[in-house]
Amino acid sequence: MKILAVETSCDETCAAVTEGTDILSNVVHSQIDLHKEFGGVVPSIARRAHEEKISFVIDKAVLNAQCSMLNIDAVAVTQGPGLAIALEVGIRHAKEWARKLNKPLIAVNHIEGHVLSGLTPEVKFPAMALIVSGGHTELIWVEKIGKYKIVARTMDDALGEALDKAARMLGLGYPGGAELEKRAALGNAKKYILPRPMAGREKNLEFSYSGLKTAFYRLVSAKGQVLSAKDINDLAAGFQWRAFEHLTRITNITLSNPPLNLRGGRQGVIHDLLVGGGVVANQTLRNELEKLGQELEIRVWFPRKGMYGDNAAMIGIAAGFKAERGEFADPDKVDRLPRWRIDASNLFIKKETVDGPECFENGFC
Amino acid sequence: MTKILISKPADLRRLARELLTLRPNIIAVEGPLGAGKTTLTKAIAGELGIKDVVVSPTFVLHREYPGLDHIDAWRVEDFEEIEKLGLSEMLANKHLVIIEWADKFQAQISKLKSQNKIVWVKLEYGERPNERRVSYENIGS
Repeated sequence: MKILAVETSCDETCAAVTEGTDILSNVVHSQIDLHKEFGGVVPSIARRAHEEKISFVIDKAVLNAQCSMLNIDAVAVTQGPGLAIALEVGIRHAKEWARKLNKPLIAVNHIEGHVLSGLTPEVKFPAMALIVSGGHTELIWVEKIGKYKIVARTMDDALGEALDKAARMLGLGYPGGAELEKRAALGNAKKYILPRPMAGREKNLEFSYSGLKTAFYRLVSAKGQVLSAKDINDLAAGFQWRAFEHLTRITNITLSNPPLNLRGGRQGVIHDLLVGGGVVANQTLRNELEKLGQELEIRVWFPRKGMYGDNAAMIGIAAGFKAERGEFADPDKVDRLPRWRIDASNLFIKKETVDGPECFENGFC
Repeated sequence: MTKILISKPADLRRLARELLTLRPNIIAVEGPLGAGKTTLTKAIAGELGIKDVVVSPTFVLHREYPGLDHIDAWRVEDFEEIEKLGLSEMLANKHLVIIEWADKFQAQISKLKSQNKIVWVKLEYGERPNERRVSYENIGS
């Protein structure tokens, strides 16, 4: 089954064609490419102007897959979570194509896409997934494909956001995560030891980066107006080290002692950690997670290159599994779900969580 | 303009209550990275009885809660983009709108005061680690 997948949950305009877990094409809009393709004459290609780019990106995905629209068997789209006005564009175009081609529509959770972006046939379930991006930091229990439970998530800032903001404090610009990694590689991570987030409260299984950000701001400010290159390297290294230490620490605690209340979950049954999201691009983080995997004798899986950040191929892959389960969407009813949790249904279900009535009807959380 | 010094969670909750007694439609918040703009929003949401965990909207730009819209202008380059998020609908729905990094669009947000009651909040780091100097004023009609 060839699936045309569309993803517009935040900044990137993406389309892909997939077949099962095979990726036939994966187009992520890059502003530079578009300007080149249009000969640099498009007046207002703003970063989040999905409407201007989406038809072009969809056509290119079909072209790159060396097929035509007539070969498409289903259309998939990200329904949430994300930015409402951005989601809306992808959903509208996906519905139009599903109608035009008279093919079924599959509505996918963006985070499920990230969870399955590193999937290989060797992964055994139940598994754990760790999603680290600019907008998300979540540990997700994966009982099997399609059945999830969020085990830990950030209480304030996402990891990718924290890295970008630390980079900004050092004058490294946006998006700063990559630049921060480069500088950190040159620095001494033990020169400045920042306080450990959630110290003594690790059992809560929560991530938090806002306190670390504040401590870093004070540290950087105390260094005065002008930072030497060496200062920047050491500060970058210190921040990145602590940010990753917090991530691996909570992940370690969760993996070594998975919550017993998870259905099907018993201690020691997890053998696989699926990692996804834009921060996976950071080699230091991948090394740290590999190290953790060796320590816990857990296999750690990363997506292939080009599938770390937001992309539509991961949406197509998730959609393939939904199609196998017969989970198709009604094009007349599908609407954006900006706060759709991976463990909440996108059907009209009222759900209570441990945090209180956090999920409302229609999966809004 | 009211100026206070806060250092404890209880101070923050009191500040959130005081801001709400001014009955604003918009709370515009400015202050450096890590000063506590999202933390203040969490406290305000708590006072409004919102049970959800309020997290940073930096990446996604906008998050909606029952009766509250939380906008972050950090990654926004043009005020038009904030309007496109549906600012007028949020205000028409009688939601409280909290805008972080409001100083980036001070002139445009201030213009909304003819139709809305705006409370402008400025957070600054104090002498001690937990201290914040807070000043706020009602700039709306």
